[in-house]
Amino acid sequence: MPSRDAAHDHAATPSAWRIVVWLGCGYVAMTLLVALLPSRSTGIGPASPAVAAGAKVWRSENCLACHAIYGLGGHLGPDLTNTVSRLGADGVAAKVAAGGARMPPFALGQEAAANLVAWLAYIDATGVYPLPRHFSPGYGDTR
Amino acid sequence: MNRLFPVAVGCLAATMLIGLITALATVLEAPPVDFRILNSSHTLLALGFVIAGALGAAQVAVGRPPPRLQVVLFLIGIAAPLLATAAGGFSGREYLSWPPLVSAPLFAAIAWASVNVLIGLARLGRAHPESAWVVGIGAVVLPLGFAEAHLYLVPAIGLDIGKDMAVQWQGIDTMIGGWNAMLYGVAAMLIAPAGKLSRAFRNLLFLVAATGLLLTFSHHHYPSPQATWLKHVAFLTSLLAAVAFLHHFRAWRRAAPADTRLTVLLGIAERWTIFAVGTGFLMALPPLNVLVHGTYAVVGHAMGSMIGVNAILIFAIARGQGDAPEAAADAAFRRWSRLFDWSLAGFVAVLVAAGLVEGVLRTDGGYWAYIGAVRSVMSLLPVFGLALAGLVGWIAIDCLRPGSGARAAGPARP
Ligand code: HEC
Repeated sequence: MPSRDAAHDHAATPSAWRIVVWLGCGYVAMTLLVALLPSRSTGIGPASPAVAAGAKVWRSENCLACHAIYGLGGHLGPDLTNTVSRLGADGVAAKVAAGGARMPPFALGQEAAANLVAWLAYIDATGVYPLPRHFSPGYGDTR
Repeated sequence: MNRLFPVAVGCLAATMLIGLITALATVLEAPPVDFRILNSSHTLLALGFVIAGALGAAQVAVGRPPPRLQVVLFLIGIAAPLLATAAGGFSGREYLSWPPLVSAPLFAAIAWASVNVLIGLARLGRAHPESAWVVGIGAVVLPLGFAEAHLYLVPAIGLDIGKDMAVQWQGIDTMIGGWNAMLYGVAAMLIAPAGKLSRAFRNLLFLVAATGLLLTFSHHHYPSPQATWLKHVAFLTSLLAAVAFLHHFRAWRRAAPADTRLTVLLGIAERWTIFAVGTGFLMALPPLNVLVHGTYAVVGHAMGSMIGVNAILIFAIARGQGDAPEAAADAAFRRWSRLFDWSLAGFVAVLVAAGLVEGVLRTDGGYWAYIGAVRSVMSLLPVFGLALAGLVGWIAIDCLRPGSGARAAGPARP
């Protein structure tokens, strides 16, 4: 390496150790911050056993392949953030059992279906999506 | 030899095939194969393609090509979630939609490859310090992001929807940032002679990677009940990242070498990088975010960067790391690459148009107000999708030809 001086090179050469320590620790600290500080949904409808069980059903049935929550998820069906407000708990349970155009019916059993609805009702209580008007001045949240 | 490159290409071929079947299944009322399985397998294979491509390229770049056993672990890491998904097992998450337990072999393969990159980093750093920084950052954050995307298993996070979305998107975004860092780092090494980028610029690169890549995640879900301070941080770093990108871009341009197939491919990646950063920046502006968030427009942004940048960089790097002398780009090669650009532009335009239609119509009537119009727009997608699949296949085959790619080439010796 004839063209550059050694001191400069030493400073510029990255050491894996430095990247791991600085970036890795910074990253983990950021993750802890995001995970530990309250979000704006913290404390809403304290996650009851039914809600927790409903989350399991929601995940294992992979409703997210077709449906979104707060706009994130599949695009085939409607966003379900506020579906309980729209259809009511019974309406949602009936829809899940019956399926629809491009939605398969799900035979979940009464308890699992009720838990799933409890999970969706919890999500419903945390905010409104999508916004009722365009070009909101804020980040598009209404709570 | 880059043994992960064939794995990546295999995943890509399967991704495109399943993508086409998935597109057909969305048209049918009752598709013969469960849509959830098709959709999840498609995403898994796309992840397999980019992750194997990025980690293979980075390991070759540091002079420690992936050993055979690691490749076997990668194959198991992709096969296990694929089989679990085919059997109807799901996590119900975005991107990593297989049951969380079967993530283990894939995580092990990613961690192995990343550590391998970090071990060889000092050697790469002697010849190409700026690339080594960026590749090293990628190798650190890719496994961390992958692991973080599983944190929802902790009930205090997974059962608080605002936190869950924030943690999940930090994980996913970091993973994406990680493979992008590795691919851009290796590509920069192929075109920029050592030491051409200034010291200040290297520091800037590090700053951008550390802030832009890690802190913009919250703009993926402004509307969700995540903490408001996260949204401010995301918005500010998005602005910073855009400014830093312009600097980066000017340096990249100055370093670009003569007219070869490699530079034609890098030119495509460059154009789609501008698209990805530009649309990413636009979507981070709160009023526009409200309009397009959660629509196909965002999918258009993601496809532009996955296909136009990630896939093309993986192919370009396979060429550039090859031991054959770079062939000059002939007229036919240019013509086909232009066709690729136009097909991808058409593909993305359909998605963005469908997204804008949804964004405008959904505010008043919800799903039933937009779905008909969105479906009509989306019916154009398979036309461009087929053209794109053919052209991507053609570029892949061109790069796989003997003597033109996927050969070992360690870092240039100082
Ligand atoms: C294969 C795709 C698919 C899957 C998987 C799927 N859905 Fe659907 N869903 C749809 C489509 C499409 C619609 C709209 C058309 C209709 O109502 O028939 C819909 C409508 C709904 C509605 C009515 C929404 C409203 O507000 O009008 C609810 C509730 C619902 N789904 C819940 C679920 C739940 C819960 C799951 C998981 C157990 C699920 N869906 C899985 C495709 C799917």
